[in-house]
Amino acid sequence: MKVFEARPAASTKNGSRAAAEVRVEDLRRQYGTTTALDGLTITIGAGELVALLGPSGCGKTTALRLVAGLEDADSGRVVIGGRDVTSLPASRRDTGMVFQAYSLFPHMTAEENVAFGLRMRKRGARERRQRAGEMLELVGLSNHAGRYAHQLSGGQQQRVALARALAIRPSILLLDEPLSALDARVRSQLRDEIRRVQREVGITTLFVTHDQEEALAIADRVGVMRAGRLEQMGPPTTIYSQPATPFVAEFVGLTNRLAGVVRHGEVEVRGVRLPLILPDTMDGPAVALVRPEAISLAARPRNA
Amino acid sequence: MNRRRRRRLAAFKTIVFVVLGLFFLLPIAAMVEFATRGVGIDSPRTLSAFTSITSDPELTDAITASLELAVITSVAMLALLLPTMIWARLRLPRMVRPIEMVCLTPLTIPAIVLVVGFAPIYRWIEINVSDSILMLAFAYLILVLPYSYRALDAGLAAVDVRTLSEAARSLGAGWGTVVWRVIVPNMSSAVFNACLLCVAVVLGEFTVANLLNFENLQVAIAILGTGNASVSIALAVLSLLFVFVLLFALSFLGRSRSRGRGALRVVR
Repeated sequence: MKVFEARPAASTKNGSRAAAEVRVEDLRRQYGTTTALDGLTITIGAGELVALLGPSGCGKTTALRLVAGLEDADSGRVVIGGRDVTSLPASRRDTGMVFQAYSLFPHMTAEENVAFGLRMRKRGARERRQRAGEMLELVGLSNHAGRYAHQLSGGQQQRVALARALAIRPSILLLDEPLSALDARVRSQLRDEIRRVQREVGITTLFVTHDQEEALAIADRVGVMRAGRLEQMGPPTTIYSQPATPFVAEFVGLTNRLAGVVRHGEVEVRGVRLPLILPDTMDGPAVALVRPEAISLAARPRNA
Repeated sequence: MNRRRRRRLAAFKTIVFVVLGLFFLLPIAAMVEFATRGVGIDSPRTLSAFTSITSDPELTDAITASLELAVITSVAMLALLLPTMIWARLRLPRMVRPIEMVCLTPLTIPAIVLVVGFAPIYRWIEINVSDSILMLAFAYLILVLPYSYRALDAGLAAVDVRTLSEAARSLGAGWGTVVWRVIVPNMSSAVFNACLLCVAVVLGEFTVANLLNFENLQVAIAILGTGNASVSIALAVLSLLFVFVLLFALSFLGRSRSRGRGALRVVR
C-alpha cells in the first residue's frame, strides 16, 4: 500500500502530486427532460488552469460536479492522471474543491478545517499540523489558524477553503464560482491570489464561472459553454479576438451588431471593408459583429 | 402615553407570570404538603414517604426501567432519524414531506388507539423475542417521533447540509463521518433538544405501558397510589423535579454551546 503513496519527485514544495492531466470524455447528464450536459469533451493539461464560462444553466457547474463525483454521469468518462475515476465516489477521487457557498465546517478552527482531509487520510497529528500551517501560510492566513469561520471575513473563509482543498495534495483543483459571494474589490484581489497559488503549486485546475472578466483574467484556456455543449475552447485572447460562433462573440466582451454585406472573403459595413474571422462565410447580406475598440469615431473632414 | 403603555404591559406580564406560576406550582406544593404529612392527625411532618421509595424493590425496578427506556429510546431515535433526515435532504428532497408526515402522525393518533395496534405485535414479541419491559422502547420510539422530528428539523434548517457534506466528501470523508463528525456537531443543540423531549415523553408515559401490562415509573406510581398514597405522590414530585432539572440542565448546556459558536454567526 505504502508504495503507491510515495510522493513523486516532481512535486513542488507546496505541491500536488506531480500535476495530473485530466480528461473528460463525452459526458452526458439529464435531469428529467432537461439536458444539462450534452456530450462534453475537454482535456486539461497538467498544471493548466481551464475556466468554463457560460450563462447560468449552460451545464458548467454540472460538468464540475461530475468531475468531483458529487453527481453521476449518465454516460461518458472522467480520467484523472490516467486513472478512470468515473465509477469512484467523491471521497476517493482525490479532488480538492472550493464552493460558491461558504463551506468551512463551523465547529472547527481554520487549522482544523485545513487538516480535515489529512485526518480522513489517517495522517499523524504532527504531519497534519505542519501541512495545515504550510497551507495557511500559502494563502496568507498564518495568524488566523485558531479562528472559527464566523470570525473570518468572506474572502478569508474562501482562502481557508482553498488551503483546505490543497492540503490533501489533490490531483485536480475544482473551483465552483468561488468568488461569486464576495464583493467586487475582494473578488479581484482573491482572483489574483488564486492564480498565484495555482501557479506556485502547479496544480491542474478547473474553474467554473459566469463572469467573463474573471475567466479571461486568470485562465490559461477558456471554454465557453452553451446548452450543455462546448462552443469554443482556447486561450483568452483567441476567444476574444477570434470567436468561433456568434454566441461566443456576444457572450464574451462587447459587440456592435452592424448590417453588412459579405463579398470575396470580406465584409462591407457602411462602405468600409473588414476582414472576416470565419473565412468561409457565404456571400450575401449579413450581420457583422464588431468590437467597440475596432471602431474609431472621427469628425468628417470639412471639405468632404 | 408611551410610558403608561409600557407600564401596563409590564403589569400584564407580571400577572400572566404569577398566574401561570401558581397554576404550575400550586399542585406541586400541594403534592409536597400531602407527601410530607405524618400518619396521625397532629403528627409532625415527615420525609418517610420519600425515604421509603428506595426500600421498595418493585418501585426501584420500575424507576430503573423507565430511565433505561429513556436512554434506549433517545439513542434509537437519533440512530433512526438523523441519518434518515440528512439523507432525505441530500438525496431525496422529494421524500422530505412524506417523511415529515409519517413522523408527525403519532401526534394525531390517541395512545389508546395506538395500543390496539401494538397489542398483537407485543403479544408476538413477548412470546418470540423477550418479555422484558425494555421492549417498550419500540412503542416509545413511535411516540417520540413527532417531537424529536420537529426539534431535529429546526436544527437541520440552520445548517447548510448540502455544501458541508459535499465539502467533507470531496476531502475524503465517508457518509458516516459526514453525518457524525460534520453535520451533527453543528446542530448539537437541536440534538440535545430532541433527546430532552424524548426523555420527558418516556418518563411521563403511562397509557401504553399500563395497557400493555408493563410496569414503568408512571404505572408504578399509579399502582402505589391505590395502596400508599403519600409514597406515590412523593415519587410523582421527584419525577417532576427530575424532568425539570434535566430540562434546565440541557437548555443551559445548549445555550452555552451556541453562545460559544453559533450565536456570533447569527449576529454577524
